[in-house]
Amino acid sequence: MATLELEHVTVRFGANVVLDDVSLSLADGEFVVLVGPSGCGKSTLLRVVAGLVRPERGTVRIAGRAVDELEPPERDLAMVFQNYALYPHKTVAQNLAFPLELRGLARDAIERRVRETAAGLGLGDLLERKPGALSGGQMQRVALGRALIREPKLFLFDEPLSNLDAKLRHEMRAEIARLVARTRITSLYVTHDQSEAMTLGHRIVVLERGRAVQAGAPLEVFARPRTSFVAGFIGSPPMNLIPGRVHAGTFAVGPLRVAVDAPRAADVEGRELVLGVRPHAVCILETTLQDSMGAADADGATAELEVAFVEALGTQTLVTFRLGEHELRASLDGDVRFRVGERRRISISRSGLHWFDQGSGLRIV
Amino acid sequence: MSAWLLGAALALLAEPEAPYAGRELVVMVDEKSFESWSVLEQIARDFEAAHPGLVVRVIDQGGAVGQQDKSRFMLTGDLPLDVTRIDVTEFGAFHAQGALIDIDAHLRALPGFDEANYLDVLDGFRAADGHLFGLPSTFTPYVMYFNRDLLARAGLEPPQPNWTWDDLLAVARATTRDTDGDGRIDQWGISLTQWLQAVVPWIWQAGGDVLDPTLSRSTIGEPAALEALRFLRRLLHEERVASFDATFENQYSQGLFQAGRCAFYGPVGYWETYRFKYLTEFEWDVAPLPRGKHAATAIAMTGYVVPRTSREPALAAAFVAELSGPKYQYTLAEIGNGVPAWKAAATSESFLDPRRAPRSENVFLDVLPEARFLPSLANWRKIEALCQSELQGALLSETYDVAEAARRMQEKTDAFLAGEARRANLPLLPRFALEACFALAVLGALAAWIVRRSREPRRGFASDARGALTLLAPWAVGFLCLFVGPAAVSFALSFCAWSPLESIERVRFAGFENWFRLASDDTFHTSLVATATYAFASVPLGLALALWLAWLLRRESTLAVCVRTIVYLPAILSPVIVAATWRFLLDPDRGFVNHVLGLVGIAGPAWTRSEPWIVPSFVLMSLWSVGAQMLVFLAALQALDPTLEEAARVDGAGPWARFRHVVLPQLSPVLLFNLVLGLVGGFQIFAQAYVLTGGGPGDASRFLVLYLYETGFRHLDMGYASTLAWVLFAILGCFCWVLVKTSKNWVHYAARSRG
Amino acid sequence: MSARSWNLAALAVAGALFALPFVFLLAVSLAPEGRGLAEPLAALRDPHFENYRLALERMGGFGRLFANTLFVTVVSIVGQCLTCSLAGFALARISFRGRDVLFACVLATMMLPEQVTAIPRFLLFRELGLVDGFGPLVLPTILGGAPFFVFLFRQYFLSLPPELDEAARLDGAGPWRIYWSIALPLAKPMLATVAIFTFLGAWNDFWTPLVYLYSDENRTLTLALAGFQRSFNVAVEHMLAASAVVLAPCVLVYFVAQKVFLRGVRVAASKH
Repeated sequence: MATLELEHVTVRFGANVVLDDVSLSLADGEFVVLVGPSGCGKSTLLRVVAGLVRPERGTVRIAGRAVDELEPPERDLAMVFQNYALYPHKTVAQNLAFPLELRGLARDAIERRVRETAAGLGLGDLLERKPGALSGGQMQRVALGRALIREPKLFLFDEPLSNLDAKLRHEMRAEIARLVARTRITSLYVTHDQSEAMTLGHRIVVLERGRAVQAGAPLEVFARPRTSFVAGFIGSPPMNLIPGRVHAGTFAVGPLRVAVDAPRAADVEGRELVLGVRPHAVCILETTLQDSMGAADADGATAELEVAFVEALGTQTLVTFRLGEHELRASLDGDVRFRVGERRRISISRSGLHWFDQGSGLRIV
Repeated sequence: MSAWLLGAALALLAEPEAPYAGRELVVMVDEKSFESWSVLEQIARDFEAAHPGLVVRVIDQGGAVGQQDKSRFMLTGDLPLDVTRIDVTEFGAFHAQGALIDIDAHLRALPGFDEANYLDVLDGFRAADGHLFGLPSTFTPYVMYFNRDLLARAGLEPPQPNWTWDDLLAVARATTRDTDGDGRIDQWGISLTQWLQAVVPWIWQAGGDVLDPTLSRSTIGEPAALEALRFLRRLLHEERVASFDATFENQYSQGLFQAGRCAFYGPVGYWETYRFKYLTEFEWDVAPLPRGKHAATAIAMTGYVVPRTSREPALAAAFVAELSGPKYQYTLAEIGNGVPAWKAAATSESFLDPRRAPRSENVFLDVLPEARFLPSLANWRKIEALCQSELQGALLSETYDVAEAARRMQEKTDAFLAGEARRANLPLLPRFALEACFALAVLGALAAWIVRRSREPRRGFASDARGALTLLAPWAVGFLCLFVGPAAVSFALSFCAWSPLESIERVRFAGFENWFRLASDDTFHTSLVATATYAFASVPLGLALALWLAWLLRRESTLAVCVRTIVYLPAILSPVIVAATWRFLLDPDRGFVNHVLGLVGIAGPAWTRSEPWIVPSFVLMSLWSVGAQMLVFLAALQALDPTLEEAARVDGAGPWARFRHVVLPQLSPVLLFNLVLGLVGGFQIFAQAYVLTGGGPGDASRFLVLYLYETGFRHLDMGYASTLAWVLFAILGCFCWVLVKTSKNWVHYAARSRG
Repeated sequence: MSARSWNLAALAVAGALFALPFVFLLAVSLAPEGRGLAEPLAALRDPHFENYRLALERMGGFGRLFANTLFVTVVSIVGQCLTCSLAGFALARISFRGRDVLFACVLATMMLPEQVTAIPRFLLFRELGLVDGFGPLVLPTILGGAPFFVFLFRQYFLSLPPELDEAARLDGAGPWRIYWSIALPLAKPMLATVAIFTFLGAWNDFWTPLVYLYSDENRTLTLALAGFQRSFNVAVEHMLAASAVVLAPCVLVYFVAQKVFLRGVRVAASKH
């Protein structure tokens, strides 16, 4: 068990900067999820920690000790791969035994540990099978077993669930969560699936094009995304991001008029902003009474918008409104029967508004 | 092996007092018949018995065309070789380059050795100081073979011993005719051989010569020589009594005669006699060459000499005497494998057997008084090669001017002789220079790599790099020692003059001479054109055929699997076997292909014997071996994503459009791969030509690598051979570079993705 | 006629044309001496199997020739497979400085005509005292002399998921261990392919034995066959019979290992 720190890690492949000055630290026993779209460098970051990729600059510390000059095996960590990376020519037992053999353990000790680990993961009956004869879930379990059997200081997970179908993914997600909770081994988990990140991590770190843009508890990141990128990436369905300009203290897009808070108004006057609205924060106003309240509602904004299309998901309904040349998507509970082309009045409460600078993408506080 | 060692050990134990124990003779022979081979074996065993303890190892040249390549390799390699068989025309070269030991004294010390036992042909291996360096194995004067039956049908007598050029012309006129009345001559007076050795006798008869007496200047452009050339040209062109086709290299020129379609065939040597072994359709015989101003003919001969690497010159000389002695010579006479040089054997019934054709076998002995050896100087073969195409042009081409062609032959020869003379005066390369080259190249390559490496940013761990380097070590040793080092040495040699017969200490520095020579070397130009023609014909045709076959085969069915197997099989055969098979398939007279073409009323070409058809023959052969490319295409076709083609089908594309716009672009990487490998392979064609044609007819199949090989090992010019090798490398490098550069425009790689 | 039957007809014709030289070779090799070319079909009525016996007899010491060829072939196969897979593995799976240059070297040697290096190589082997032995035949293969196979192995290893190595690395395996325990077992199809190609190359090689082997006891089959072809008074029938004997093992290997063959070619074809 150990802490993990990354300081100013930079990785370049040719002219391509894959990781740009990334710093990160994990407390002992912490489960941190690295999340970001594909190509953001998250797998590379994992490989830097594992010692498979050598950073151009920066330091990695495990349990307080710089490991930059240590070979992967000397770092005492285990990694679970997206494609499981099981040795196809070895049986499950041999796959599990391989890391122990390399450490020179006695044969009977290896056998015992293999049996124990397999039993713990429900693989007892599969020991003599080769990976080719296993299902995806079973393979992933073997891969977990191979990582566990070593009792490493650190677990690294490289999108371990993305090759599984949706149902299995949920099962395995729970299993990994239980496993990590039980062993209390510090874990770094990479995924592009924000819902995995939200549910698994003690803390999540969002990576965008090689930079760590935000780190924090999942709900904190969800509630206060630091950039428009994070805002769009975390949360499902994704946040509406509507670009526009502030004029005379009002942000206007199509029929939507939003008054900017008085203290901020002066700062943002004339600037190009992005308005972020989570689909859940959009409400439908049913009465004509509220109709008359107009655009100047100090608590948020209202507007009458045309329904562009409707996606009924059963427990909720996603309604997309036309908003000038943009769209505004609302997520409404239950089965809401709107017709395309119909006009509806919506409102967004003040707390549901997120402001970002259009140039830098940074949140405006 | 162990049994052999045990036997040797036992033999040693059994004869502890064997005076020759531990001594060995290594003998290189070049036997083309099993009977003579077994006699040689017997002679060796007898010699061992006479010299207790001595081991005689008999080695066969084993090459495909029988040009003593192997003894040259062994001399180059400084390998122990005590006796070797060489051609008399090579004697000058071997002697001049110090490759032979003077065995005159050893021979004369042998009991019973007497020059009078031999026919008058020993001069072939006699140096200017009168010393004998070797003894003959077999020889033949050049004579005329003729068809007795054909002459009789024409009401003509066989030629008299002192018949003349005019007689030849008269007989030829009388026998040249169109027998089936289709307006084309199909029976000829003469099938004329016309490589330089066979033309020289005519020149001598006219009173001329090819080289002046000091052997430093060509005289082929002088009036007497021209008269001979004009006479031959007259036979071929003005009189049209000598046949044009089937008159190339000796090994193929007998076809017309064998088919009974010409009266005379020559000048050729005794070797034809056993080639006509099965020729019983008509009676054939031999006659001396007709005389011009003088009677003259040339002698071809092989014999045994003792190379400088021999450790046992005295024993070797004794063995040479045995090899050319009566035992072998009587066998030779018996089996009809050559004219024996041993007088008693040559005049015995065994040789002059009246029951066996030719009836007038004595002609081979009767012409000896007027027979001469061809000029014996370094590189007679090279002179032959230099003159070859001009000579053929002068004799065969309608448009050539004889005097002009002769002048060009003379110029080429003179330039070559001058170059040879100059070469002897070039400064010697310092000792160990080549070794230094090798070492420098290896160290230089290592250093360059280390420097280059240090400029790259670090990636991975030191131990990874260490691991990788140890993994690569065996390959790296091979790369440095078998590619980099040798390549550097060969590059250095391209600026040098060196004969492989000389020791490696005698490499001379020649500057850019070899490189300048490229510009004026006609053979090189011909060879380049032939090679390029072959490559640029065989590669696209091969690719198209391979692609078409793969297209047919892409859907699995029983038939497809069978056909796939059959089509691929030829690709795994040795070129030696491919050449052997096609040699007989394409035989112009008896070959299967022409037979089939004949059935459908097409007169098949002369294939490997005709200059315009030789490259197509090789292309045809290469098409048979197209299986490897076919498999690559097939694999690529079967790996294609079928949805793309389905999409195109839905879009309304026809089969051709689908192939052209959907399949072909996806195959383009494989196409590039096959194209590059095909070109590299095509430009390196060697074994087929080596086995099948030896470069002929003319220079038409003297492909670059074959020319390079001949230059180095036959014409003994390693420097120029190295230059040629580098030219080949440069050409290949350019093509590949251009292909790879332009490939960006036509090769489409499937998009790859990795998260 | 439908496209499908055209296709079948074309296939049948192509198959027949390609088979023809084989049939010819076999027919002539079984024909009575001296009649093979004139009437290749004579063999059908009266096959002369003694042509084969005579041909083998006359080639001299067939057992020895076969043993020599087999020895050279087997050593070449083992050497080639190991060295080329080692180099291919290092070039594909280990990241180190200077790697790309080395790979460029592999590609460059693919372009280098054998003849460029032949003479100096010969001198080198002479210095090492290896001439007239099997050293010059097998050493180049042991030292990875066929850059194409290094290339093939590299491509093959590139096609394996890199995570396998990474996992092994984390499990504590070094480069050699990964090569031996992970890469080599996974490369079995490629090993088989290279083994077969090496077999064919070594079995059919003509130039190297021609240059390096002198003694009768060291001759190989192709060398003997070429010598046989050169002999003037060897009957065509015997020559082709000898050819048939020499090519038989290749054909046999091909039939036995056809699948492996195709798989290897597929790798070669698919990874560029």
